[in-house]
Amino acid sequence: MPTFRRNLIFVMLGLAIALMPTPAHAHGSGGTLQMNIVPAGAYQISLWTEPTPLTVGNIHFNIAVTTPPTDTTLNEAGAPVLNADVTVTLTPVGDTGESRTLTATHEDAVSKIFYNADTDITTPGDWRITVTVSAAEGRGSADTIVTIAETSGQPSRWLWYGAGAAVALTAGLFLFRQSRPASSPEN
Amino acid sequence: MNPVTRAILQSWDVRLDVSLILVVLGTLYVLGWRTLRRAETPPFRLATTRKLTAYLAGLGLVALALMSPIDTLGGQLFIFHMVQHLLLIMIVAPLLLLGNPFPFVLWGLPKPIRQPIAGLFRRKSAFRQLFTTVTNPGISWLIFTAFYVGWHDPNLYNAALRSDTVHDFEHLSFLLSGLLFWWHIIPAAPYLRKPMPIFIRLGYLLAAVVPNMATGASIAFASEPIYTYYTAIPRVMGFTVMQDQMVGGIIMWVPGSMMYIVAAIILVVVHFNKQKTSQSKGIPSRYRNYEY
Repeated sequence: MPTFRRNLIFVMLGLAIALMPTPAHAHGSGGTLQMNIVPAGAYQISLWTEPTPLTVGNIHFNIAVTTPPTDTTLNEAGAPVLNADVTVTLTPVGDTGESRTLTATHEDAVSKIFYNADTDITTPGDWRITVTVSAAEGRGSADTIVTIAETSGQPSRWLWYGAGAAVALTAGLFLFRQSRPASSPEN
Repeated sequence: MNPVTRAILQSWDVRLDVSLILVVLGTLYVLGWRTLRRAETPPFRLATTRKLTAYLAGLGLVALALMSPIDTLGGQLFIFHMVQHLLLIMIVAPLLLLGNPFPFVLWGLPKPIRQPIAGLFRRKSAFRQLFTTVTNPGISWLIFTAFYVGWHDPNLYNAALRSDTVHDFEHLSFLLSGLLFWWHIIPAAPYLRKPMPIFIRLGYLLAAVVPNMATGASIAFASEPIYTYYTAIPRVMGFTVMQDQMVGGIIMWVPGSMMYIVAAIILVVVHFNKQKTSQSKGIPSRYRNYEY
């Protein structure tokens, strides 16, 4: 095998391995809208969560902090507020479990207009999510209650991988059988 | 610089899955192109620099459409989502086809994989017959139009913005149906059927203007937000949701339709230029339409 081709195959294999630990969620804003432009002091807050539906494990919060729209008759978000301190507090509802507070930043957000935070939740049930914003116009907060399920009730990602592998295998077998009886066009 | 503009310009989403696919497709093409180029003697007719440039430019634009702030902004402004779709359908797909990727990618593959794939396109293979039937011009046109119009349904569009998986499928379906659509205009291997006569190709191309205009105009003239996803998103660049929707609809309607018309003009010019060149070189008319 020529060196150039062999080196390229190594590069491609390296890229494939690098790809494996890529997180499956969120390359856009996406997710389930839990707070839709809710007033919070001088601001409006929108909150999206992932995965959909929410299940125990890693939970991703995507937050938009905006000013109210200039035209108050419009039911939509205003301009983004970028230099705010944003925290997300999670409290189990009707339980003695401990609450936790996360700091949401632009750092991990794909769109730097949003604030992102992540955490692992191991206890299913109802949780109160409070988003607090502190910036030049003062402080404001808004909350909502979400239900975190034990399991999603949807097929596991491994099932999809298995199905994909089965399809690839069948296609490979089909290709192999098709190519056997006669010579290929290149010959 | 305005902080919002700076935040937008920093919003790159370098995705490993997209990067890997583009690197693999680019590598296979370059390997095959080198192999076939070595097998040719100048003047090169198959492995030309023009084809290599068109293909790599197409892949580069896929990267730009899916990983640059165009993609991030598409989640915030309908206008940019339309620009992204037009880029994939109207520019990337024709560029990739101008690169005639099939023989080059095939020759970039190792022999044990190349031969079975080439075997699928043997003259009498069942796969080739099935593939030829399901990709006939009428079906291709309908598939393309169905995806193009269908994805603008509010439920599907909102679903795409809420789910990364659905969003990826939307972009993939636009690109693949775009390739299928343009394949009948820009002939590229595998050559399964005789190219359509020029006037039928023009009709096929211009017929796509009608659903494009209808969809764009209905979005531009809507009296309330169709894509409710955007109402919760911070407004950037001073557009309200309705202004954004109207301008996005107009982009789809006017520049989108213009692209088909420009393509029709290019098609006519190229066709007559090729005819003139072929006549002077004495190439039989049945071979004249095969490559652009």
